[in-house]
Amino acid sequence: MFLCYNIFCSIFLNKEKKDIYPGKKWGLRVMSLQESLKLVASIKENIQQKIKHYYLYKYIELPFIDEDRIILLLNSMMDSNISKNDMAKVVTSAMLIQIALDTHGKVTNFGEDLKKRQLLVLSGDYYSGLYYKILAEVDNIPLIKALAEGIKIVNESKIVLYRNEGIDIDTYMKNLIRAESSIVTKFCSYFGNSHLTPIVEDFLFLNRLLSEKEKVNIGHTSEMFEALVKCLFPTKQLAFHELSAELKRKIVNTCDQYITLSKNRLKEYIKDLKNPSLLLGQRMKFLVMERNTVLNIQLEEG
Amino acid sequence: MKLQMMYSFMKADIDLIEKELHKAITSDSDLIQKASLNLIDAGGKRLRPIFVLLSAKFGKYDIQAIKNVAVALELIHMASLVHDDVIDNAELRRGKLTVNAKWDNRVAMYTGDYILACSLEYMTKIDNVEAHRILANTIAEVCFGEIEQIKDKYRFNQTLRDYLRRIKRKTALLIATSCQLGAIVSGTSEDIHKKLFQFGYLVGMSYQITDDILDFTGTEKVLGKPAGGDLLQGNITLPVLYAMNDRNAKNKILTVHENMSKDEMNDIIAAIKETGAIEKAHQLSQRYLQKALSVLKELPDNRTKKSLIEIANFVGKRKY
Repeated sequence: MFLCYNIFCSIFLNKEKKDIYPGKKWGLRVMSLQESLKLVASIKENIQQKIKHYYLYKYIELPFIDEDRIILLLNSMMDSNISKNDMAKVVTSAMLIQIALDTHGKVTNFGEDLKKRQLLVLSGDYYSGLYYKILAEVDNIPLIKALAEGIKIVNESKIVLYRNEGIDIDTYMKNLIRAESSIVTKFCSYFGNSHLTPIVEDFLFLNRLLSEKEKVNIGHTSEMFEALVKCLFPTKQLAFHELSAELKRKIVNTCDQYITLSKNRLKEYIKDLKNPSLLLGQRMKFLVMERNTVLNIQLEEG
Repeated sequence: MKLQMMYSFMKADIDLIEKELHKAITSDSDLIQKASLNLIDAGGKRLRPIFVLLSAKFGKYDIQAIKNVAVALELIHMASLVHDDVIDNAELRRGKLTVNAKWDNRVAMYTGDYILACSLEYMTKIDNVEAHRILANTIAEVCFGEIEQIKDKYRFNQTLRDYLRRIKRKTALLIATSCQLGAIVSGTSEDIHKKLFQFGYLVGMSYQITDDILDFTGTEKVLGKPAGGDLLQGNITLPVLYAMNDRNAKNKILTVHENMSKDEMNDIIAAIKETGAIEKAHQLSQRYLQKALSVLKELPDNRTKKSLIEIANFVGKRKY
């Protein structure tokens, strides 16, 4: 289904490159699925254009542009009278700051090529600069402030997650939610849609939990799983892959409990949500019902 | 004359800015708080806030409004320093351990981003779209310039033009913007704020050239880092560019690499000094300064102008 969604986007991306955002006022609520997909795709392309820098991407990976976040951001403006053109600009700026923060989260302490590390730092700074520039251009000073508040919360939470000193698992997860969602929730609040906060939080939290589980499943290191080891077995001082099968299972079960809780909450939100945009409704259902969570994690002894 | 003496008539306002800087960083995270204050407490010349305040004196001076710009600009500068220290793997800044050295790179990244957010939050207290557009453009240019600087590392065939464009983005623009925003927020005419931008730009260029000279002439104790450190890291500065006109010095410079020993580096520094490149670089720095002073002549006479002249002269003669 997600593949279809991407194909859809790419078809619309290649057509009608000019005049993608007509200036008339048009809330997302009245957009058809096709129109919404077209808008998401064009915003994604706009972001790619903004961050395009031939030298940077010789050394660092192109940042991941999360279409789900674009959908959530757009959804928060569905009742507003903002023009599609400005809608695209403010979403782009919020996405750029998210990408900036994600990029800085990749800077490591050791073992990385120096030039790569330097460019991770600078590219993140550059994207932050662009967020401010776009919002200054559209004269939206209050949104600059709202997103700056979000940046502060994200970094405070990330430092708790990163240091992970003597905190319990609930505190860890609470901070993970804040780190994942604060930019989007601040954006929602700015557009008068604070009631969407629980949906945004669980949507992005669940997405993250599933992604971390997928990482482990394909043999990659997951910062979250390593942190869970520290939270649940603070005296062990072992990496996840070094644990016994029993302890690994406990960690996976804990993660699954949070996944189940989050899914159940999202199911309730879907029932209660009055008139979500068609696109968000689809994505929420996909996340809750279809995305495969029965992952084949190898639980043999470490 | 000491730098502080040049704007002593504004001491109360400078003290207020210092307090505001501390107030601006009030985080729920003890670590972010400590790491940010680590840098604020290390001091610094506070050139940007000083330029903001002095420039504001050309208009309707309201410290309660202008302090927001002054604090925002100093915080932007600080955020960039925290990240620069990660880029350069620097251990010391203003004689104190850097955030990355005291904690680690990740903590420095989060702290820098936090400080930048604080600065923008402060800036949003200013409801003037022109001021935001100018600052936003400057930040984007500075960041772009830093990427270019990495690209230009160890590129020995770069031109004087490349160097000047780089230092414009690296240093001069933020100082120029400090002057211009101070003037804009205090409601000066376009003619005055543009002249102040020009003044700040020229002083900033002179300041950075002097900084690049000091990298060769300063002592490790004063610089807080070994002499020749910029060249060792591949930064081709003005003295190096001038020295490369000398065949002997050029051959030595071309051997520079990041793992070079201190003795080898000292030999190269001596070769650069022998070419007269330091004096030549100093002359260019002075030319920028003279231009800055001539721009000031076109501004209305007041007490502030005297301070700006003194600060400009200090920049040209400074030893630290």
